[in-house]
Amino acid sequence: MQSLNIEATENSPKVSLDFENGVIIFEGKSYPENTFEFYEPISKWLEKYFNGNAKETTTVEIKLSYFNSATSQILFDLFDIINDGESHNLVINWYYDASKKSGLKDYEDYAEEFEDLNIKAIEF
Amino acid sequence: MQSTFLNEKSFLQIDDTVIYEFSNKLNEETMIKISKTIQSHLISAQVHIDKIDDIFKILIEIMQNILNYSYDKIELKNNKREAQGILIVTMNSIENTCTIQSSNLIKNTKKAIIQERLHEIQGLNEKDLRRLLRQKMRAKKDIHTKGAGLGFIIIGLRVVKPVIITFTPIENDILKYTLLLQL
Repeated sequence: MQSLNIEATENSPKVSLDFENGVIIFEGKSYPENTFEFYEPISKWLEKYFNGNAKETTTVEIKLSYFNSATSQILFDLFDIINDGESHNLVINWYYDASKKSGLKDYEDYAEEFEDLNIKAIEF
Repeated sequence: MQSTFLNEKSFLQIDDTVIYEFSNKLNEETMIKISKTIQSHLISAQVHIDKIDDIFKILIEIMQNILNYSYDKIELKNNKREAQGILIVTMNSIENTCTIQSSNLIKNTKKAIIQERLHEIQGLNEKDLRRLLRQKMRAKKDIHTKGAGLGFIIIGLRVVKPVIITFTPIENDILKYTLLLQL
């Protein structure tokens, strides 16, 4: 299995899916016009990784400063993949901007919905 | 009739001054430019960060909806689109309120879908809206290739007054769809 790296643009995040180190990072803004198309290879990679290929420890870092409603759905689907898949030691960190009122609320939606994933909130 | 629509102006007004006029032609590139420029003008006017954040989020949702659902949208390269949409953003810095009005042309068949989406959020408080958001994300019922059908909930979470929508007949089965929001 190979790593997958996507550079950030003005409206799409940097995505780093580092297979060797078991580190998954989403960073930046996420409102590409074709959001589902953008995330399709990422979903496929995660499905493969969490189906028998996960490292001993996997760390997921979500550092999205802004995301559109389609990305909200995508994030939900990605957490679904992780939740249904196999992982050993899993750490998920959700970074939020404490100066914005919506920062923590977005986190709470996912943390409550995917309680078993024990998603942690960390201030930017 | 359509040409009258195209002659209307899109602009950002802060208090009594029009700060920024921009094109009605929306595509991914102009969307990024318009939202970033509005954000930067609001920062310069010392509008509160939460308000700027809300305005940015709503503008993106509105502009992406215009690209996805407009009658006059055209297909560009790489599965991208372009459409005409009028955006009027009026910021009252003293009251810290912002009004956003958007208009675009839609087919008559879209009217019922828009009304249904609005009906779903009407009268809901923040807790109920978040519950609906999670329920819809779980059900994945309204997902299509360009969106997840969650835009009105995202808008509902940020407005301070009920969302107003109007449909004005233009010609044959084409309507001018206007959305009016206050946040």
